[in-house]
Amino acid sequence: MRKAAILAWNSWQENLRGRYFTLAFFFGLVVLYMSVILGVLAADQEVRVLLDFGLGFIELMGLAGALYGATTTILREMETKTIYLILSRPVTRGEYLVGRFAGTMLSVLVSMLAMAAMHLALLFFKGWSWQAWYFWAFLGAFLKVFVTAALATFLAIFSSSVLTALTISAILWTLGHFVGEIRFMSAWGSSKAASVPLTAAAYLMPNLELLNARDRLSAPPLGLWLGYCAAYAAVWLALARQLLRRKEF
Amino acid sequence: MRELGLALLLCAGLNAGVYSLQGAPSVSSALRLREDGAVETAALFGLGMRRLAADLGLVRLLVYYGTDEAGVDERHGAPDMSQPQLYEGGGHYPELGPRARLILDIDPTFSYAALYAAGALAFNLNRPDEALELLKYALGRDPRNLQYAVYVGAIGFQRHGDAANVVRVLEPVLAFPDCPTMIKNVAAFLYLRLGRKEKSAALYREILATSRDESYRRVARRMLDELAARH
Repeated sequence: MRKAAILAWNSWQENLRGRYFTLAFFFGLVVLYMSVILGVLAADQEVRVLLDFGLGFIELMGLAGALYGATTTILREMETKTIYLILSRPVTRGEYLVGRFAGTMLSVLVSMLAMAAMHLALLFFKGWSWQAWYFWAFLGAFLKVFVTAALATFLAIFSSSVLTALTISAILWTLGHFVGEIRFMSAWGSSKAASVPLTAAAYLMPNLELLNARDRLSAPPLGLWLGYCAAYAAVWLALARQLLRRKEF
Repeated sequence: MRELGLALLLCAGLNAGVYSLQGAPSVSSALRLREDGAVETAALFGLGMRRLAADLGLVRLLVYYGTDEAGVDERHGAPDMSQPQLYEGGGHYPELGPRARLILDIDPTFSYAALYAAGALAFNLNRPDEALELLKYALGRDPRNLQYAVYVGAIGFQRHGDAANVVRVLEPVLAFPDCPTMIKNVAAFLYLRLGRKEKSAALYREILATSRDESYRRVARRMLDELAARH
């Protein structure tokens, strides 16, 4: 576990050097720009729109960073053979994978926190007062990114292609938010042939709608959230580890 | 391949556990969209941004109602002091109700959209029946929202030209944070019509201090100037 932590710290420092946090700066500029536009367009509801837009944008920026990190870090090290430098030491492939994944997620979490700090500063400036659901919405967003990044890590090792892994992850991200509709359609659909793949999809995809506290404004079932995310991510990371163990570089 | 099968089986088991806790999917969770803006709304749904989709629906509604209809004299929000009995604004805006309903379909708790559209229909466009229909729809989606019931009462009095009771019923909701400025503007105007100038001025001052809508702030400023000139 200590070795994985060292690798995670190393990933974090690489991201810091690689100007990963430019994302947060870019976010700040976009949100400021949007606040000017929304102030005119949304009139009385400016704060609500700014709140929703900011939280959504934080999540998307977090997702972009996480998917990029999850799909490129390991594949790049395989390509450049720098992975040899690490695996020639007493580090198992499982520890390597967990370390790299944890480093990516740490970078994502810090950048999302930086964006949230900027967002909150703007909201307070506009007269918004703190509500606990902001925290739940933020946590839900991070957990969604976490689960999707675990899937992306598996897909990157499975396909050995950044583009394929990114595309499939983005599709799963989208479908994961339609789980409610997919379940509804599979339950009410008239055609059995159509309902079978829909049901299968609803059971296999990550249930991102479960974590979407941003749209519900209520305290979430925290135990269920954490348990679900930990288990779902562990399944795909374990599978990624199995694939990595069999890989020949 | 065997490991992949096992992973998929584990995911199915996990999701089955969550679904058993969540229960059967409800009709309200199903996606229902109108033609205009369907792609954009579906895209936002796909990104898990229902509330933002509703927000954009509101922005579209505000732009729609804030844009002059061709050949119609628009006066919403700006009462004429010399003819206070003619409060209704111009225009027809047939899409006002349907657009508000679409927003409620996306986010049933977004009461501002329903209150704004119902207020405009009842008090500005003189179509109380449509306003009541919209409020009934909104109440069906969010039955615990007391503001809807208050508006129903106020519109009932408005239909009988009972301005005193309209403001009496509206009074408690004027302090609600999501009370549309338009409704405060209507109440201020009705107070003025009833000769309660202090109440009217207080509401206009509040609009000036709290509203982010420049058009209503302009009206409030003008009305306060006129009230001061009369004294």
